[in-house]
Amino acid sequence: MFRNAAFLLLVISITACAGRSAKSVISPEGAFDEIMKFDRFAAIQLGATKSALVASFDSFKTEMSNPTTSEETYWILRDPRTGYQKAALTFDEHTQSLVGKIWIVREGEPERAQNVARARFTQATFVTRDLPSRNPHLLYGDRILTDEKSGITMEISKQTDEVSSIQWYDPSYRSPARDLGDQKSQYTF
Amino acid sequence: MMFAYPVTVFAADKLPKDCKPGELWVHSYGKTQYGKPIWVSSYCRSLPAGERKGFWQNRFKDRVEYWPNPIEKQKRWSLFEREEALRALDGIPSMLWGSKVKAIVRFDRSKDFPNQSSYGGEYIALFDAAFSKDQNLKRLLTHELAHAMWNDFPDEWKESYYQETGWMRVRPGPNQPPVMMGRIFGYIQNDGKIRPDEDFANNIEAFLFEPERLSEVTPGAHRWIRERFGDNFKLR
Repeated sequence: MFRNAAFLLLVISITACAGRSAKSVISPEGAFDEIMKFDRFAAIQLGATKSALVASFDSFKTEMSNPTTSEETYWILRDPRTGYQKAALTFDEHTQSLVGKIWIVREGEPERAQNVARARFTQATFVTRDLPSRNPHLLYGDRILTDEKSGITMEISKQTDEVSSIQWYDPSYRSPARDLGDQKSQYTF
Repeated sequence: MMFAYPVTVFAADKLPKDCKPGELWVHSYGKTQYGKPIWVSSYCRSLPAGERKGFWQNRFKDRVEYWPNPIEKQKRWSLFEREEALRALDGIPSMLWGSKVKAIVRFDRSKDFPNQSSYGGEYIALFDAAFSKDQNLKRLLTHELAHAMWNDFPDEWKESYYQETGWMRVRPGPNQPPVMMGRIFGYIQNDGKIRPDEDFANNIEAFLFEPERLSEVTPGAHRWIRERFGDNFKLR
């Protein structure tokens, strides 16, 4: 009788533990949906350290480094369901802190419209710039709206005049490596 | 006229009525071949889809209002060049015939000589170098039409291409432009490293002209193109 009761108690406690742990584990999809909202992403402060951010993004980030420069690493944030990139964070390798971020605006999202996206940054004064094409064979470059003061940049599709990405960087930030004159503008490799 | 162009009989002169339904009548014209002027007799050219000529004919322009590189001079199409370009376009799968291409324009020399062709958004430029005998006009036009096609892609197609071929968007530090970061290796042509749209145009070109090489060098791109465009996507 006593042995049966002890066994029953053991089964109940194991079931309870399993239930509790199942509740506490958030799937990558769940974490992605919870964290990857525009307002939440926009609120991430430049200068935050990698270690402070890792818990939020760990389940759906891929870390990349750029072989042409040892200055920066990137966290590519992908939707676990589609595998498509939604955003990226750029870290300075020396300080391990966030120096840039990009939010990709998908078709159907409200920020796709320039007026909606601009309204998100009421303090910013955006200047339109057409970047020259780096490819002699392809004559159109990208169009961006930049607020030099805050470092907020919007990438504009020339075909549709819609916002395709919103980016943040700290204009006052200086990388120690850059100060040494190691300036590499070619990030593709 | 006859003195200027010694008669070279390629075939007996044909009249439009001699052409079968669906064939295109090409009237006689003079051209230079291996440095010698020759005269090409009129002939009937096979045109399986009757609308092909109509599709492109009005897009051959001698002049466009705006061109971003002022040192590149526009010039008139010769009949021969126009015919050669039409023939090349005929051989390109019609899936690539972008209706957004408003004009195909002739220019003398590219500011980036020996560049043979350019895509400037709505316009395709063919430079003198495109008509040199070592060039494959069909291949050049395929590449430029692939650029036009890329511009028409919905986001989902672009994202799927990025994923399959290893392109990522990142925000570099200050004083840097927005950047697409490409895969480390596996480019069919080196200039594909610059941007995904150039990479795409190179891969479409390779898919049609060197499919086995593309399958070896960039299998992801080969797979993606085959899946999206199907088995009928091939040269005619």
